Amino acid sequence: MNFQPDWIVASSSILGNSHAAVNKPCQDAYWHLNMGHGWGVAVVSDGAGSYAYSHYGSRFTARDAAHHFRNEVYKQGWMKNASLPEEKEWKVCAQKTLFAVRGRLEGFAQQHELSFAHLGCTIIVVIYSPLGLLVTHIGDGRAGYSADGKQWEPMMIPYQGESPGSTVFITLDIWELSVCDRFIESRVIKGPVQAFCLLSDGCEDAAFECWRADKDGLVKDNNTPQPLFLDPNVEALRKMHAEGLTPDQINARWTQFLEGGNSVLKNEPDDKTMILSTKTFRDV
Amino acid sequence: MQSYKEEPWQDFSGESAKNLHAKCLWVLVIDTSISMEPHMQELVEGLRAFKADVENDPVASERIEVAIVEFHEKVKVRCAPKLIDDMTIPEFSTGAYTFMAQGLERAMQVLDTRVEWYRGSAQPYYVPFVVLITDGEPNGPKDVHKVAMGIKKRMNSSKRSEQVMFMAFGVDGANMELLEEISDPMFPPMYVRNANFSSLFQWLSMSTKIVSHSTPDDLSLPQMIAESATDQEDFQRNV
Repeated sequence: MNFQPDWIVASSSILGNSHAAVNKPCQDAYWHLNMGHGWGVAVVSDGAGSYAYSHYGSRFTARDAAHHFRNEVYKQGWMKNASLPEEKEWKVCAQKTLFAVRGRLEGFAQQHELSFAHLGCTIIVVIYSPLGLLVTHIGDGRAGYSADGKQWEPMMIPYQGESPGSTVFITLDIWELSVCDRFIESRVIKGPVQAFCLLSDGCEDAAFECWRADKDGLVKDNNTPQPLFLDPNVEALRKMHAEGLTPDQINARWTQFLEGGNSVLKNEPDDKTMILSTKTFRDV
Repeated sequence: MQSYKEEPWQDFSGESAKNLHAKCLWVLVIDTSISMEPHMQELVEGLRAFKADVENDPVASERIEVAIVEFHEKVKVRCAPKLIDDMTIPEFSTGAYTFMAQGLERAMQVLDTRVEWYRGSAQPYYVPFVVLITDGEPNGPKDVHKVAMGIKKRMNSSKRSEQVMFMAFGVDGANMELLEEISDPMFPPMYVRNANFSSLFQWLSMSTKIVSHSTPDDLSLPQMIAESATDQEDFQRNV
């Protein structure tokens, strides 16, 4: 029997309390494509709170990016050759692909006669594979991974704008070669990975250790995935899979959990989106 | 095979870190000139009820910071900015005059120092609010119009570091025309009927919750806060 590592994925977007109170739509979106053989693409996008149509922007961006990054995996032969690109190659590919997503988003805006700026949204893309992870992002949100199933590491640094709490969006002018690297972070994480997560900022207080005061009272962003939050959920995900729950059943449970699984999730005013994935083994 | 529903231990669960949340500062600028003396007990009780109410809201209590500045012929910071849990209700003093301009100036200094700290430590924060409560005619060596002009300018600033919301509440004997002059049209001054401080602090409590349950980039907030004041039965627009 041949065992090929594959991944179990829980994913959901929840309308935030503050948006629900004023009948605003959920401005977060996500997309996940399982490519088989342990490869796949997971995307989270968060529409800018101050823009009226950013929910269209995030939905379009998440779906479009997932499909085009999947195409890149095929085109570049990474999956076929069982290899991951080096940092430099990945950075160029990620920026080009994101720029193309931006171009199609602009086309979407024109087609629907919407202001392009008002479709502003962040994006986090993770390509997972048996060989490691490729990650790229614009804006804030968080992403983390566990290589050994015990310790968690962040896999991106959220972009913090000049003003605290502000960030950048795919629609902004961040594409000049001289400034691009400042706004678009891309990383290659090589080696086996047991679990990973990517999430909008509405989930960061629940899943990450972020803003904390040190012993001198100085506040800083620790950007550390919270094992006490992630490990039990990875474990639950594995057990649900072992029990034979379908992806839809798992996602329904995940939705319920993100809605109010603990006090931080319950009290969060912002929209919440999180994709959590862990490796399992299945016979192929 | 047991069904999933019979296995509650399998459910998703997880403990979150104790993170600091985006802060929203409310600076209360309170006229404690001698004419306010009859209302002082009600004012303190209103503040107590406000504190208790916000403390009971798990979201607001972690986001709302309150500072209190009192003014008569002296200006004192009675409560430096702090989370509601840590706030102690101050004992107010009274004096003969109403140095409103100096009171507002001091409030803006308190606000700017706090905002500078938020920014210096990269903490997310909401646009801060200044709430003026007065029952009298301003006097003193400084021109209140000049100070108010500076605040109005900042209300419309595009620079996040300068932005501020200002609301004025007049009680018995307040010069509402003056309050109208120094307020931004977006937030017209409100007259508190029968010096009902209980209603005033109920509104404050409700407003702080509206803000803390939103996100810092929500542009509809000022409108919501302004409307929440207009909707209050015990307030009236009076010029």
